[in-house]
Amino acid sequence: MLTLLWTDIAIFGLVIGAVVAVWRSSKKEHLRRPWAKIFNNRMGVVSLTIVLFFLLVGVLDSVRLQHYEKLPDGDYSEHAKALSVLDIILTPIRLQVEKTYSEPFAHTAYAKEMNVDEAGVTQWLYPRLLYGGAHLNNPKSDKQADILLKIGKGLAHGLLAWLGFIFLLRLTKRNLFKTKLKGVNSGLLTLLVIFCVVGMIASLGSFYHILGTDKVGEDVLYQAIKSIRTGLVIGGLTTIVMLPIAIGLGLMAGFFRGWVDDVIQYLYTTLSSIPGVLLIAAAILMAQVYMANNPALFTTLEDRADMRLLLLCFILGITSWTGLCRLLRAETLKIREMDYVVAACALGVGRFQLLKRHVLPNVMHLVMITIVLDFSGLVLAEAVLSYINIGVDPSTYSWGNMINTSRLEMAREPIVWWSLTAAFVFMFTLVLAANLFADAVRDAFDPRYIE
Amino acid sequence: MPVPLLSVQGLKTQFNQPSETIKAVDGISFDIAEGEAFALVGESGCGKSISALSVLRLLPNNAQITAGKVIYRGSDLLRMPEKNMREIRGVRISMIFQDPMTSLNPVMTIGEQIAEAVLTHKKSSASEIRKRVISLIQQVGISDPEERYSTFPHQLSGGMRQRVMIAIALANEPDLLIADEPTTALDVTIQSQILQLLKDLQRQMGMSLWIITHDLGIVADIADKVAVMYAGQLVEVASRDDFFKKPLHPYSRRLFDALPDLHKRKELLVTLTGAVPKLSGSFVGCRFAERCDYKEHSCTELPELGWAIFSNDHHVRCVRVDKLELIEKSGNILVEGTSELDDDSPLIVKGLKVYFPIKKGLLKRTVGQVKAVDDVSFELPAGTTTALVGESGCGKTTLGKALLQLLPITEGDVEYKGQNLATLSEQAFKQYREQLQIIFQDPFSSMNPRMLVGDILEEGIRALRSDLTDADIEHQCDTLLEKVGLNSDVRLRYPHEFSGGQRQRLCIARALAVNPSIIVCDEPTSALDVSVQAQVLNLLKKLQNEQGLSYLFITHDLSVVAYLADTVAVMYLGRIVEYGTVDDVLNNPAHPYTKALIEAVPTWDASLEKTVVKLPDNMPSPSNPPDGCHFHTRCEHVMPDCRQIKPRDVNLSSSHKVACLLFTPNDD
Repeated sequence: MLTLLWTDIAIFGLVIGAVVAVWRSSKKEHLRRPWAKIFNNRMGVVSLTIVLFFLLVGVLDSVRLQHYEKLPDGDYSEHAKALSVLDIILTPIRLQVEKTYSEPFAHTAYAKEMNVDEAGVTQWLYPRLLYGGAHLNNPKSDKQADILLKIGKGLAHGLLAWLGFIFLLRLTKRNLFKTKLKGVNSGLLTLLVIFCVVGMIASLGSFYHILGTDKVGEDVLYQAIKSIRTGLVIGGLTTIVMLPIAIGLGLMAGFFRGWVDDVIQYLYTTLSSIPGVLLIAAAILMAQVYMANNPALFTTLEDRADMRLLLLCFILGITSWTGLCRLLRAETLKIREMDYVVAACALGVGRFQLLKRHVLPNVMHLVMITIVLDFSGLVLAEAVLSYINIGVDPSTYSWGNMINTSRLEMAREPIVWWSLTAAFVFMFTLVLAANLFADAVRDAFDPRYIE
Repeated sequence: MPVPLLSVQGLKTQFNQPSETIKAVDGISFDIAEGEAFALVGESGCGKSISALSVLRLLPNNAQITAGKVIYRGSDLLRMPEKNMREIRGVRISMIFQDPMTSLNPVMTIGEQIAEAVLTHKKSSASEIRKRVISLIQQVGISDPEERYSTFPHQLSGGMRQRVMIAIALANEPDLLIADEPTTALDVTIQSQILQLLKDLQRQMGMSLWIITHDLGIVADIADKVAVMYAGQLVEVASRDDFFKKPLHPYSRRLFDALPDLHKRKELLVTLTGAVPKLSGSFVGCRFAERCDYKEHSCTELPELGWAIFSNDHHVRCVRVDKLELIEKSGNILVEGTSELDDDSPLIVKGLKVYFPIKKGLLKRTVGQVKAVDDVSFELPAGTTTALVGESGCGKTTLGKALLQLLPITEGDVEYKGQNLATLSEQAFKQYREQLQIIFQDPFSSMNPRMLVGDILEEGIRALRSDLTDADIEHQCDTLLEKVGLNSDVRLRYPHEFSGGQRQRLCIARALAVNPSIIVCDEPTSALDVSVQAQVLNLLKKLQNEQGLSYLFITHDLSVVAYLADTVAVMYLGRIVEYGTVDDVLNNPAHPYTKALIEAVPTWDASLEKTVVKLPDNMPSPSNPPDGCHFHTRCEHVMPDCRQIKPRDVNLSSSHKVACLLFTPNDD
């Protein structure tokens, strides 16, 4: 049984929209050329592959099934739990919950505990973990060899899977390796890396905590992977909310000038002079009150957390359009004086068409750059908002929440570094890939750009 | 033979790009003697500027000098350490650039900027430097040097700024001044003054001048020696007199043939076929052979063409130079008027005014008006060309745009087919958009870089005729492209893939798409090279004959006017000061301003000995025009009355009107 949350619907909408756009542009010769350019650019293909992989994880995490948990007595519980496909794939990591902190690849806990042995002697020692390295009898001597073996096995599986994948590709597309597109090989190599990494995680994941565990013993790798969806939702939905406002108002202000410009300028100057955090806090608190007063609308915990995430996106979107709007207004003021706009006027082209055909395509590079730069800013904004408890729900996995909790962990002695590192590495990979991809897209779609 | 000041020997400069190597300068050699004015002529992209930058070692990072020597006073500049080079660059050899707007720092006073050039290279006290700067300002012909010391660049006109640039270049009394298109961005009247200034300075200071230009008129005016450059090589080197008496290389000849003038009105201009070859490839034999009318088998036999020495100092890189005389110049095709006008209603402009309000303060109250077009009347008969001539800022373009309602008209009538267009609403005017079209000056900014050529052409058809099917529109586009001499497969390409001339053709095609009867041409050829200009002018002339188009041709180039126009209106500060047929205005100019404009055009025809009328470089601002006759501040025949009375139009003949108090109305 499938269940859908509001953000799931939004994610599917976005993905379907993107697929339709790609399909339609592949029908037109002049739109196919820029894509060929992207596929000719090694960096473009590599970053696209990585972004797509992240997207795949996000989509898998949005397909939810009703899951009845198996109880110890062999029956299934009556309470259905909505689990995403990703959760099911990650079941071993998800369920192997330790007592508290443990280091990456550790077989013992991070802190000493009092223990009474069979002889009744009380002693302080590092207790063995419940799952991490539990299969080893003599962890001190065997662990290293075991890890290497499992890595090797993972790599081998990854390689095999990759070869199988390529074989399938060749069956469907015979001329794959004959294309002159430089990027195809780079893309396949990136895929190989991704397959190997996935293979390693699969073979190691059920025996060790690859990125350690957090305070309540939950696997950090699982948290980081689950956060991908939150990051994508915040980056993607906020942009979707913000773009129409920024583009619409920016173009109108620059193009029509006069009182339209005055009103829009007044609007964004006012909005940007109110501290954004205040607006967000007010909106989130209002929403919380609403949810508390209408418990019938939000039956499950997930529903509530999801509604909060959605709301956060809307509010971030409504407060963050001013910068882009200002940029677009300035650029439009410049473009409307260009000869080609005047020529179109002389040809009797309507205003809407003028904006759509002549102004908008010539400001898209600004939009593209702003979106990508804002993306990382938004993920970080989420972390800041979580800090004052108006961000995503504390039960939602997000890099912001991970960073927020690691505040205390960094102050511990010995330091707990892996939560922060995991969040950082995942965020870094996604944002960097998105940045590089946006660069490639911008260059490819600018007809004046010469390599 | 005396040792030359600067001797360039086999200089080769190339641009290294990831995909290809562009040999921008491919083995040029020439000498510049002391006190000599040397002109390097060629079309854009042939490597003129790069050779100057190579000599000064000011090349961009991806450029590289691969061979050659530049001997200056016995030492090779290309092998000199950078430290020594700095003492030559800007001190012994200095350079001025084309655009005086971008070459000056807007936040420094001009005095400081000149002082900087003096300061850098000489140690002296502040008052001495100031004195030197003021004498420099005086030297370049700027009045009130004391006051000008502390003005900022934006307070000066374009010509003044170029003078400041020259002052900076002269600060250290260089031996050689390199001027890279020093007057291209300036008006004709200012151009003639700057050229005069350069000539005078050269004579006074005994320095050499290396002038880079595409304008043969400038060459004739200033140079002692001429070198013609084509595709990275010199093709002809001669003294000025030899060159203008008898250009030998086929390319040089074509450059002369492509110039429009009054005598060529009845013919098509001779144009070069094809385009400048790509500098990234390798050449066999003559680089011009592909476009040459005289080419023969022997032209491409030798791997590299040597120089043919015609006379002592006249060298040509052409194997057949001796035989060229025997070959008749290919005849020009006469234009035949074949068109029959379906509708011969003229466009009548009466008392047109376009004012722009100057708004100030919080409430944006109107405190004044810029009278860009002030009470202009003229008539554009169907199937003819009216040229609108004047310096930049006189309101030519504003007038053109106002006719198409691209700018609001303040007052006046524009009558066409019995309808007053000026009073129509935007909606009602839409049906007249088909009739009136516009072509712009800059072929690079007049097409949307992100639209396909096909879409650009179709835009007008789709906007004005919603009844046509896609197939019809496509068919119409193909016909249009054929008309302007382009293949129909260009529809799926982007504008940046075309050269300037091709782009201008596309702009013409776009205007033609809606089948107009009147086209406003806003300096359509001033951004183009001579040979390309000829192609565009031919096209315009052909279209006029075939379709009976009327042109309102806005330009500052009088040779184009002479070639193309039937009637001429001379504009000054928003008013038409003289109006008449091309013969009236150009051969018998009446208004002092028209005379000055005509005489400012440099020419090589020695038979037309003329005196240059110096127009002061102080065109008043249209926001605050002088009372009476606008021109009185610059007129050499100024009378007391001129300051008070606005001159009325005086009919000199049935077709010739002038607005000047020197002429008394004879009819009333």
